[in-house]
Amino acid sequence: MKRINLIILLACSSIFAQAQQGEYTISGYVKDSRTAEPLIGVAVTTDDNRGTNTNTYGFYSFNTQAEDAEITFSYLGYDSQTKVLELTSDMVIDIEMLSSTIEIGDVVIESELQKLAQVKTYGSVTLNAEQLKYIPAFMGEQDIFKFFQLQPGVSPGKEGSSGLNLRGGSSDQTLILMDDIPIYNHSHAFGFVSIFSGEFIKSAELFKGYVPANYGGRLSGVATMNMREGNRNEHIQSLQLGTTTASALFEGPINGGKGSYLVGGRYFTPNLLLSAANLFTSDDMVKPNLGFYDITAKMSYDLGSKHTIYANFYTGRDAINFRFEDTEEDHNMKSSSGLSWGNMVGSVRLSSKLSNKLFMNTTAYYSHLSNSKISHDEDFISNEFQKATTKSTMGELGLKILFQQNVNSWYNLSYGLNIANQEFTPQDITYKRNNGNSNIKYGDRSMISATLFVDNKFTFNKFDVNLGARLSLYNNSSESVVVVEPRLSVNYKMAKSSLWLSYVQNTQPLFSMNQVYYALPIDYWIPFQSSDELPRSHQLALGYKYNFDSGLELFAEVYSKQSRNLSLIYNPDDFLLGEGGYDLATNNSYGAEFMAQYKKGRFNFMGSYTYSKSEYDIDGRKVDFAYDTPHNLNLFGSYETLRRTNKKHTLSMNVNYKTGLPYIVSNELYPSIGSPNGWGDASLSNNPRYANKRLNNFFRVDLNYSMEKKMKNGTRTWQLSLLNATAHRNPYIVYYNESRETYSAFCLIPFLPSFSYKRTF
Amino acid sequence: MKKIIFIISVVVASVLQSCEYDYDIEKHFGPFTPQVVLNSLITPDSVIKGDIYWTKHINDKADVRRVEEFHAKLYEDGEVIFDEACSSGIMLTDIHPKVGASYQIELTVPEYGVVKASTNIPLSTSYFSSYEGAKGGGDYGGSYYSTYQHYIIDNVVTKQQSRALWLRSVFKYSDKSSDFVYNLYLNNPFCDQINAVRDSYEWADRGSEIGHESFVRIPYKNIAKSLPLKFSTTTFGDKYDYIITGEDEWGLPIYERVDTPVVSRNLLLITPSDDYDKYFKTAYRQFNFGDTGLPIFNEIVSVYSNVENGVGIFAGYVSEIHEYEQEQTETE
Repeated sequence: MKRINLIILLACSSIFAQAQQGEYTISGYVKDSRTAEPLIGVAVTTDDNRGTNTNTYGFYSFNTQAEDAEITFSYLGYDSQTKVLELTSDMVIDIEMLSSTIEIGDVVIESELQKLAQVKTYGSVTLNAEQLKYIPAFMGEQDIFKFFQLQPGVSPGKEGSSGLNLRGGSSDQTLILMDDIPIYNHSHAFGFVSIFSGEFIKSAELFKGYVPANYGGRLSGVATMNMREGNRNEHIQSLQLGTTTASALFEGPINGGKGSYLVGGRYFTPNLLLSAANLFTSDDMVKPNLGFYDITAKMSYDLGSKHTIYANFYTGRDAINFRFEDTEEDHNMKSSSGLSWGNMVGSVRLSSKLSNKLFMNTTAYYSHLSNSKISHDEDFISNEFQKATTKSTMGELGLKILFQQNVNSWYNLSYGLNIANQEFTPQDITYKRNNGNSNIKYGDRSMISATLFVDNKFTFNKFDVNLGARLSLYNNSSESVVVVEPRLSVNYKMAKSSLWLSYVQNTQPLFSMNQVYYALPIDYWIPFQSSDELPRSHQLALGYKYNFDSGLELFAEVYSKQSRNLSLIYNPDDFLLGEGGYDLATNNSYGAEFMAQYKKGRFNFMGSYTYSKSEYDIDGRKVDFAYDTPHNLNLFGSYETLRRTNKKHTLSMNVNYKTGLPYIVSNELYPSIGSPNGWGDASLSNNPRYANKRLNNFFRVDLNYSMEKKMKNGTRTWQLSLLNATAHRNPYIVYYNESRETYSAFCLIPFLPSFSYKRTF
Repeated sequence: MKKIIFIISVVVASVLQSCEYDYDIEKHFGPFTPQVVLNSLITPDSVIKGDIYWTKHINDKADVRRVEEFHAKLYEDGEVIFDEACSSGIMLTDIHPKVGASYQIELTVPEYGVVKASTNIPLSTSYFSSYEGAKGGGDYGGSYYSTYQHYIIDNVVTKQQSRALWLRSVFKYSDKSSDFVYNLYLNNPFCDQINAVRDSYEWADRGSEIGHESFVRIPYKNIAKSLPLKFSTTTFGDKYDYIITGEDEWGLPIYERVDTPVVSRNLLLITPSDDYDKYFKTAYRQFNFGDTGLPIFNEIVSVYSNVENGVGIFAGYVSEIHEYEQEQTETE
């Protein structure tokens, strides 16, 4: 009850808060000068240390008591702008900012190279798409998830994966948002490539410590991806061909710049070769296909000067399938089988500037994830037909309303609600045989969630205080549970440094399970089983940041996190049937993260080191988290080797050294009772259920060379990447090699060159 | 140009270098200490028997060692029914387990300790099956054949809920000392079986994409929906044997090729205890996916064991067997 009172108190606080006399409100929009797209997270500061950041729609609003104000707009990858104002009343200042790397006419704006990422306080990091092009490409792809993985406290999991395991939590404990729409499977190709193409992303932010109250429902953190709206000034086309994907992007203005469109897609390049090969194989040969595609579309349109409506659509799918036909004299049949999985999401958003101090955003969204396994046989002689389909699906229909209010010079408020209905069908099996049709569903559930949230930001002299809470109701079809998740951060600002403390509580009403096909996992999700087993976490962090005059920035943060009621599922079938198949565990994580950023002239550096520990407690037994990496060192540097009026070449390098991952391996054999295969006696390996050893330490050096050139119309960019340039053998899996009578390791990336070619016009 | 060719050659050679390399794992392990293995499947059709071994190091190429001396105690519904010293790694009783009873075993191994396990014998499941006939076959290389037999199972009557039913096909040869478990093929998604082909007739053509399973597992909740269960069996078999009929002028044996016909085919519908089901399900997964030949696809599977202070399995089951005569005309 005390907690609910706290929520009511926080929610009502805005009623009592009034603008103080003698204050002026400065507000407006900040946009990119080239594309007229709103810029997110632009720092707007005054010389008296007031200020704010633009929101997701490029809007800002803050109060100041100064009558003469010098306002600076600064943004990663863009030239800063300063406005000197004489304030006699509230003012609206709309700004267009210049990208520090773009070309205007035949002149290149040669400004100081920008930092790679903006590390904020409270354990969050922001970057915009402009910085993405300098990170080493993975199989030709510029992947924002790979960039996040360079941050301290972030573990990708297995090599090559797009996982975001934050501070010892599993990847499903990270909420992935695409323009405020939750995404339930964020990767293609079994995790090697994320579904977010670098070309579509405008900015991204990762929260691993303090999470603003408008985000929740996950134990570890949030990664928000804000997609581009499209160029409002001119029509642009872009084509890209790389080792992994071929992509196209079209964008441009609608109705003279009142709106914009953006549509594009990617296709897995190697499948083009496979499809071509299938054309030349005989009919009675098995024809395989594998790959993925995705399509992203977005539209924005201004409804007057105060409202803008947005429509988003994304669909993407991975598939592996085999086709076979046999049309000889004595038999005439065809069959096919395969796996496929993917997301389809859509949303409509309305952003409204209700006043110079109050901004509202309303988002209605739908997010759908489906996996399916299909086998289809047809015999045209015996007229027999069979089709077996096993699906797992989940869908979320939701509404989110967010208000952001600039109350006065020391108080900002954001509040709103999020309601959603989620439908889960982990197993939906259909069997059609001739005219018959049978169906079974396992574990299908629905969940309704409703959340009120409020985030208060107070500024007192050198202190910034965020006090927020979420009040959530979750109903999983069989019972309801109400939870309160308070959160607090205090930031003490000094001349060149700041010191912060944050505390956050989270709950997670749903979690992912895996279907595994030949060691390749495909996610599906289920809601919490009972209120007693609702996963909860709390995290305490203390951080410090220092800016040197030389441009060097240092960060350090220590944290301690505990997550309870974690279901470690080792037998999904049993789990879905309510017959066990899981261990209930508590996870304890702690760590210290250090990071340095430095930029000078053409040189840019970012380095991080993390010491951390994450382990489960299963009835008193300690087990390492699957991706626990006590020591993790990342060094990233880039240098502009060539900078001319129409050319720019950039060399970048990333070095990663970390402790080997926990691993299950056994050197013990015992006889089975016969062989399940019926091929005689055999031995079983006595593998434990959880990791018992560690792989050798990991070391990898990646190189990237980017060559941008201005052409007569548009630009062309070559990217050459070399992963694992030193050919260090990092074990991906370890297994007993019967033929060599010894243990062998398999190295996933022995040495991997890749390229991509991009042309815009 | 030579320089470019050289660079390309180096790059290609590097890319093509082996991804597999020797890995020193022993440094991660301490001295190897073997554990006791108890393997015992009990069913009312046979007397209770157990095989007791020591685990061995993976590099140990010698045959697995049996536990020479131990003491075995067996309980039926809490009452001691066997209490004797055993040797040579074998516990042999003259007791047939009873349907519906629970059993506990205790092995005392000198200088090791007590090893325990318990299980039960479930109530049996009855079923009706019918033979649909053969549909083709294949002759491979002149000395092997494959046969494709088709069956339908219907009217399964379960007396108690078990986790699943297991179906196996066993072929008996007239001149072979042991039976052979044969592969089963079906495309019924209500069963745990990955062949996913309509019948065995197709597997030969599509062999490159399918696995070969020797069982069908039907989860209990799926039984009603899976019926009538149509499936087929096939396997490679020795088409011929060679018998010595005399000596030639050099004193070397003269071989004569003779047919080795299958004489009968048994279908077993097994009602497993939970222990049987968990053990074979996980053991099957380790066999099939633990070493796929492509290391990246290898799964690390922990096999279920209900043996305390040891490994292995002590599991009860009951089976109902239907026997079919072998047709002699099915091979091409």
